[in-house]
Amino acid sequence: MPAPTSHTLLLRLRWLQLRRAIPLYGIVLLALAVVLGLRLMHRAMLQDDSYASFIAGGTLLMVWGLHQRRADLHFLFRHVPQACTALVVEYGALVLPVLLVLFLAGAWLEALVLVPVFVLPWLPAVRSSGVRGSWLRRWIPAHLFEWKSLVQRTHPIGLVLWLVALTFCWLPVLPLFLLGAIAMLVAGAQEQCEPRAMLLATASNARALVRLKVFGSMQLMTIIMLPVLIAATIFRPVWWWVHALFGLGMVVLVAYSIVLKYANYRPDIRLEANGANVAVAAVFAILPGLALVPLIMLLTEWPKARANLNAFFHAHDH
Amino acid sequence: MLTITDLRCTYGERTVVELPHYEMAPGVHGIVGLNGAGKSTLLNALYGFGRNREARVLWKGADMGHANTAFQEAESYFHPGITGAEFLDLFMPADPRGDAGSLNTLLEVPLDAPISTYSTGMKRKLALLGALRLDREVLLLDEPMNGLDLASVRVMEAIIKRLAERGRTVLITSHVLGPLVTLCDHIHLLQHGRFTRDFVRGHTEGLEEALFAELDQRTGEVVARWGRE
Repeated sequence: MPAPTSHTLLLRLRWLQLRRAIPLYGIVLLALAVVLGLRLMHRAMLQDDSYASFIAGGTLLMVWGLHQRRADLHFLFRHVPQACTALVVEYGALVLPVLLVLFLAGAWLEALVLVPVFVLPWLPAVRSSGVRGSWLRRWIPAHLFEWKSLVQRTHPIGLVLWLVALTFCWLPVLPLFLLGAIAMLVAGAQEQCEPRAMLLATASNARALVRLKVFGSMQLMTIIMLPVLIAATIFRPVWWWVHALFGLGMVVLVAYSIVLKYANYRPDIRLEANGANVAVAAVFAILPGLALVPLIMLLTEWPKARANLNAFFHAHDH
Repeated sequence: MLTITDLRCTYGERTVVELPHYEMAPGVHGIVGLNGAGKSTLLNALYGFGRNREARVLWKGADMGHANTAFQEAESYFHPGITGAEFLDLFMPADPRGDAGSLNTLLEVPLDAPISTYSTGMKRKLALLGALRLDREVLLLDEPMNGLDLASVRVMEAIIKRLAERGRTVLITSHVLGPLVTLCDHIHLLQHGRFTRDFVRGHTEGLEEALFAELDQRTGEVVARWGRE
């Protein structure tokens, strides 16, 4: 087998990764999916010319984003001979199917939009600090670091969900569904237990810690939900009680997830089993007439959380 | 004065640390011992974890607790997805004038980057900054030099000296003798969970021999047998 040249090095590497990650029939299915996707693009462009601009612009943006975010860029420039050419070949292979579709649809001018892809490797990549949503994190109090962690993991998805909920607040169910999804993300962020040093730095005793965490998160959750729920109520005033109950249910759900975390707290571990309990509470929170159940679950777990945390605040008494 | 009375730490049936009575004067104290001697267990116990109910740890006659003690643990874990600055925000200094934030100009921790991108040394330094920021009277440092580069070790030595000048009491565990000999007013030798010898600054002759005596004897026996088998 001939040694790969530097130009096609990355391409061969991707093929190798693909073959290791997916069995042969999977690769065939993937190829079929790509062909069908391209055919769909082609038909869309034939029906409406403007799609060609969106597809070309979107593809350029995607490759640019890929180039900016790829972690191996530094390594490639240091250790791969003719790294720029290897990158051009890789990006070229990525945009080639889209170019083909654009040519087939006669969108020559739009195809020119993709030309910058071939000079991307020579353009400087901005090395960001890797911190996501730093402007958003500044609004979150220091002791609610789970929220900062959530922003780091999900930004900008959470923000997009919230904006879509606000934009489509006139629809009957969608905004509530999206707020529910945000509440589940927040509840999910409470599964990771912080190290003992952070626990002890947050508050001076278990009682203060649980109150600080629960009320702080309830406040943030209310700030997130209120604009959407108010806007939704303006469009559907008769649903005010549905919106009010849903909002309360989600706030209680988030509070429950925090209390549940501290009821089972152990330093540095991830309480994945808590997800099942939170999911059950979420179902009850949206079922008519059963919204009180999460509240009862919350009140039941609260003393357990305090008792469990006492073991970490006053360990020598146990 | 730090007074330890009736302290006992056990893992199952095994007693790891046992100190019926021990006193430490204010200053910088080094605790040395081989792996398994009980150094980390002792610091944990002094901070309130894993000790028996009857144990009493007093600082200036009152219970030593989280209010007057800061602890840098040997293993530094951090909540995922937060930056160094966000971590430090949790550690509110009792007196803003004592804020250790300025020390980062020497330690050079990239506070605005996510902690997940830090090297081991950076994580150690961040944990140290957190403990220093609390500005407590007693500082427990468990293997603080681990993972640090030479420059950082030198900065840390300067920080510890300054803490001593400010009247703070520092307890450091380490298996690296060099920095401890120059830094500490007292070095306590911990063997099998008990303090067996106490060395004063400037009179540390015999420390290394005492530390390794048992190990040297065992090593000698095993190596000699191995050659013959």
